[in-house]
Amino acid sequence: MEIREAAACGITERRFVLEVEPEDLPDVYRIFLYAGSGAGHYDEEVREDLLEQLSYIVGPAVEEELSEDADVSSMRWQEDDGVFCLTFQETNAPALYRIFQAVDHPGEGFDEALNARLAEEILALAPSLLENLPVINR
Amino acid sequence: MNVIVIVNDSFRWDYLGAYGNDWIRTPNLDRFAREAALFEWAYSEGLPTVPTRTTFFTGRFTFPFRGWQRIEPKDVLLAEILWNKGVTSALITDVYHLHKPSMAFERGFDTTEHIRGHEGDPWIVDPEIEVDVDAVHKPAPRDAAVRKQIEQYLRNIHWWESEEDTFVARVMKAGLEWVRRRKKRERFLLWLDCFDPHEPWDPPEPYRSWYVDPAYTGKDIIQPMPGDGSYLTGEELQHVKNLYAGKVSLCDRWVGWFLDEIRSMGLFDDTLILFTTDHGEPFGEHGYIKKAEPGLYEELCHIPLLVRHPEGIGSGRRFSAMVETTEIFPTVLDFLGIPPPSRIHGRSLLPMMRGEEERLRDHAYMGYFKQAWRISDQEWCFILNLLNDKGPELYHLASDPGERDNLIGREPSKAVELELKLRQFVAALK
Repeated sequence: MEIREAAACGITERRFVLEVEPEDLPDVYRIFLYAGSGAGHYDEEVREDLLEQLSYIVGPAVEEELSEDADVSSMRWQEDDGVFCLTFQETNAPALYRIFQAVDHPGEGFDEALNARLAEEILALAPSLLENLPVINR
Repeated sequence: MNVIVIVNDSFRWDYLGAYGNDWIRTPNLDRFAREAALFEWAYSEGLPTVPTRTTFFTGRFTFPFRGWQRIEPKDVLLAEILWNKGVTSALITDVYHLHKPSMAFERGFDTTEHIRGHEGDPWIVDPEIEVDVDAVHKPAPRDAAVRKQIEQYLRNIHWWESEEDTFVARVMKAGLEWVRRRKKRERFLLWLDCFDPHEPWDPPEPYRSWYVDPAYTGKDIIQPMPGDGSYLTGEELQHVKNLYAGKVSLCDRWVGWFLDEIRSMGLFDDTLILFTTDHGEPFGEHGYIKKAEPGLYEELCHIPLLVRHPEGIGSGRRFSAMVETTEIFPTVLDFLGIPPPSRIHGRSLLPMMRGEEERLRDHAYMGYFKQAWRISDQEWCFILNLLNDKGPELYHLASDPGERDNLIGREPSKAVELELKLRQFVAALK
């Protein structure tokens, strides 16, 4: 599971990708589910790792207010050679950061609709990995 | 025997006098070109900035395999090969993308020096340093990220007093300092990687005044928005090009200064010196400015490549063979007498410079990872767009060097032939 810069030169804004191996996808999916409903459980170490990687790779911009230029509709989960990838632009990084923070601070800039859409997208991409997960009870 | 590689980022081949430009002053590089082997058909294999450095440092074709990403653990890097061969290596650069968290392009070099602060490098972050973004920026829809980059840049350079503080000057001065301090008996590889003339385009005087129209009354738009450029007037776009030309001349001045200094030290007698870039710069030739699209046109992927051999091999000759950025890695090793690793794809330029062979391959191959691939020779160019519905493109470079007239529907057999060669080439890469 890695967040990395995917493009930065000569374009309007930097692009990033969160790459998740199939074996890690349930952990990420659980965070999206918990952020949206408060139900189930998630691995705190995974969440902290994602927050740290966002800050480390994107920079302090992740903690800023969401820019008026942010277009979260461009954030998409895709499968790429067996790896699940969430691509996002720099201005969208705060929205993703708020999702990973939402279990601690629900409501603080948290985009519930975006969270729900991204959770649905992962599920649609990898139903065999994510359906019937013991998300409610350990 | 030593090697010095000078890379100036975003340096259009057709903005250099030695390649035929007649309106931009590049006397130092032109003089160097007269002593060097000049490769007329040199191309950047993997685009843009970061993938090109991967090519430089691995000697491998990258465009089918990876794009903008860090060096991988399994990569065998040029500087790593030199570590136990009696060759000291140094990377001195202001290309901040190479220094970003996790990128690690300095791997293997004995000495690395990062000159901080170019473009959006988050170097000076004191918010109390006041900068005037609007003085050098034309507002446009969705420009928050670009505004932020300019703000960062202006903060980074707020202390500048003269052209000696500019990035290319600092990289060249740091390079000379390293050369002077080295232990004299060591062979060395010095890699000077300058981000200039990359935007922001803010050449100091006199370089600015050499090109700008005195009648122009608008702003110096130092970092225009990537895209179709329609938010700029024709006058503004021309002004942007003139500012870029000023930065090209600034680079020429400081690369020339460095070359003069090392010549006076006697290093021209035992040092292979290469000058090149990672790519060019689109200025609206195909409907967009900067690298807003992965357009593999001449203004982006055709590059200058000059190689000066200390024994005069190839000196003053112009080579018409298709060569690429993959060739730099094996050329450096060949000159130093070190066998290249088996996994590299590039080939040394030295046999061609010695007249022992006429060409390395029939075509040049290049691309943006997962976005577009290109195959070309001196006559034809075929572009395979992978990302969208744009469709393939075919140009007859010999009669249409600007790639204006897409012949894809009129020359189907040529298009099929080139696409097949391109796909066969990629399939055969290991």
